Amino acid sequence: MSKKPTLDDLVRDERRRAPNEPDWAAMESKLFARIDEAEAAEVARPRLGGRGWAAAAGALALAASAMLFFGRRGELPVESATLGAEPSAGTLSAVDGAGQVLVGGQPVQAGRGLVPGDRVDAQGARGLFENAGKVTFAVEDQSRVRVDRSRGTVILALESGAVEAAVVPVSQGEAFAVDVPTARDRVRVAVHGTHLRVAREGDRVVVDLTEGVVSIGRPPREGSTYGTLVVAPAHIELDASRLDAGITVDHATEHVRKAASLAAPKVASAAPVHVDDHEPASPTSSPRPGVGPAPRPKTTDESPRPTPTEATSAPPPASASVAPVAAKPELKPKDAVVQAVRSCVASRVQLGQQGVRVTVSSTLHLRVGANGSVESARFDPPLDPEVQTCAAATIYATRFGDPGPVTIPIEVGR
Amino acid sequence: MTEEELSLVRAAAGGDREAFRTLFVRHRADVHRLVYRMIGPRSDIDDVVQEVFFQVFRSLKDFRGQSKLTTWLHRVTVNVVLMVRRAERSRPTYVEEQPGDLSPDDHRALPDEEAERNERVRAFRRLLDRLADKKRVVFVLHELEGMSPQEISDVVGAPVLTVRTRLFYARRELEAMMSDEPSLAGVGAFAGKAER
Repeated sequence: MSKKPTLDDLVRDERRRAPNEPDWAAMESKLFARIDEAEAAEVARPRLGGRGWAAAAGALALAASAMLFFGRRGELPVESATLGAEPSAGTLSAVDGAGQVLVGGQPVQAGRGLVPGDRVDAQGARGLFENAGKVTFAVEDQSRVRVDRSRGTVILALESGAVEAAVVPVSQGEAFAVDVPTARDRVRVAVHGTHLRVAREGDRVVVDLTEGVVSIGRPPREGSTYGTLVVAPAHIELDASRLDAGITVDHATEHVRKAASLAAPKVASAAPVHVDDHEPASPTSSPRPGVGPAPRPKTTDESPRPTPTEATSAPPPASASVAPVAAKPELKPKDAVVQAVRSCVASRVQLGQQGVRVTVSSTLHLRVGANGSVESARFDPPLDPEVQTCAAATIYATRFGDPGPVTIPIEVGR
Repeated sequence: MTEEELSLVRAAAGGDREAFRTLFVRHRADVHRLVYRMIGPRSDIDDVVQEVFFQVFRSLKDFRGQSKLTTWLHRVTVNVVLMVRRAERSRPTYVEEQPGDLSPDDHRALPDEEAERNERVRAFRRLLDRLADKKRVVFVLHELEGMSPQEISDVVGAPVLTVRTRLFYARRELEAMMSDEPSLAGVGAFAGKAER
């Protein structure tokens, strides 16, 4: 170095640097499109009665929804810009167990659709609900949920017990949410396609994430959620009434509750399910669903990055995945990573349109730790953040044989 | 704030898209520069700027005109950037250094000197990134954006004395970290930096 600079010199250098001029027209166009979408979603939002809002006021919201990355936040998918009959949040596909499922206090049979305001009680059975192409969810035995929203983002308020869901990834916005009402606080979780279980016992909330990425935070008045992002596998615990106290995250696969099958049993019980339109019956004194594995040592959400996981752990559910192609055991680690990146590029970048050949070239630099897990990853040059986020799950889940730097050339095109 | 700007804000808050567009055009470069100063040259910087203005649109109705619009915009920008950074702490992130994005606007240096300067700037950003959020915010606003402690106090909602304290410790920590940074070895302390 020819001359040792002072801190003043560095600040002066930094001040002289100017960011590259962005494409203002494109930014403006996206911004106003986003505002239009948000306003349309606001107009289309179902109107709850005063009773419904009172019940929701001050509630802790724990929402699981599909998202891609920061740039997409706030964008709500709007199924329809016009007001009309509310779509079904889900249709009861099966009652799994000897008990019953009640809607509005009345036993219901398979085929019953849920609309905002419906209250579902599962007593002695598990109610399986299907919203084709969007989400499949189960209201577990001794659980109660209320349907808060069915248009755009499906939002359930978990009043007691547990809900397990497999959310189909969406290209933008949020597909599914679970609210957990408490008296003091609100939270939200955002997901890019996931399989998760949300359970509560009082204000204690446990989220077991077997696949995908969730963001836990307070839900905004509109749009998507800002919150703490957690990558699967993860066992997450928090106090719903004291979100600011932080959440605990355990990425050890063995500590994450195994995903339950959400497929309807072959012989569906004819037992009814209870859905309450308004005030539900008092909860029974029978045992509540467990809120998860016993407490174990955890890392806090201050961890700079989730612990990389073994590719062979936590078999993913068929209905949801973060990267379109997960690392297959028979593939070499490098090949698995390349395949995942290619799939992410193919699913998020329009290639070869109108006779134009598009080639995406980059080099992925990895640092592999002593146990074979990926400690850091960097694309040079960077790819679209959406693609990088998509590929991250597979990259960090891949296990390499030898520690040290790994360089993987990436070239995708057609 | 001028009457003209206040009426623009009121119109935009009332849903007037053209008024909001005017505010966007008028302030977008400042917001973009501040985001750049705070998060560096990243590929999603435009998304962050867009998010800032989306939040501005949603919050304009809450703007009472008790502070300067630019101060309020700085506050929204800082909050959005901090939210982004908080979100990133819990998910895998990629290091996105883009040497080509460093574009000096002063005299051209020799290639070697320019490369050396670029490396120093990148090293400096790495150190800035290691500062705690509160200290980094006041350091960026004061040293890079040229805001006074009083203005920063309005942006971050902390007393002026607190801002000055954070500035003091931010500088001290930066100086300490610089001694461990090979490309910045030997960097001295501020030469009698006077606070505005």
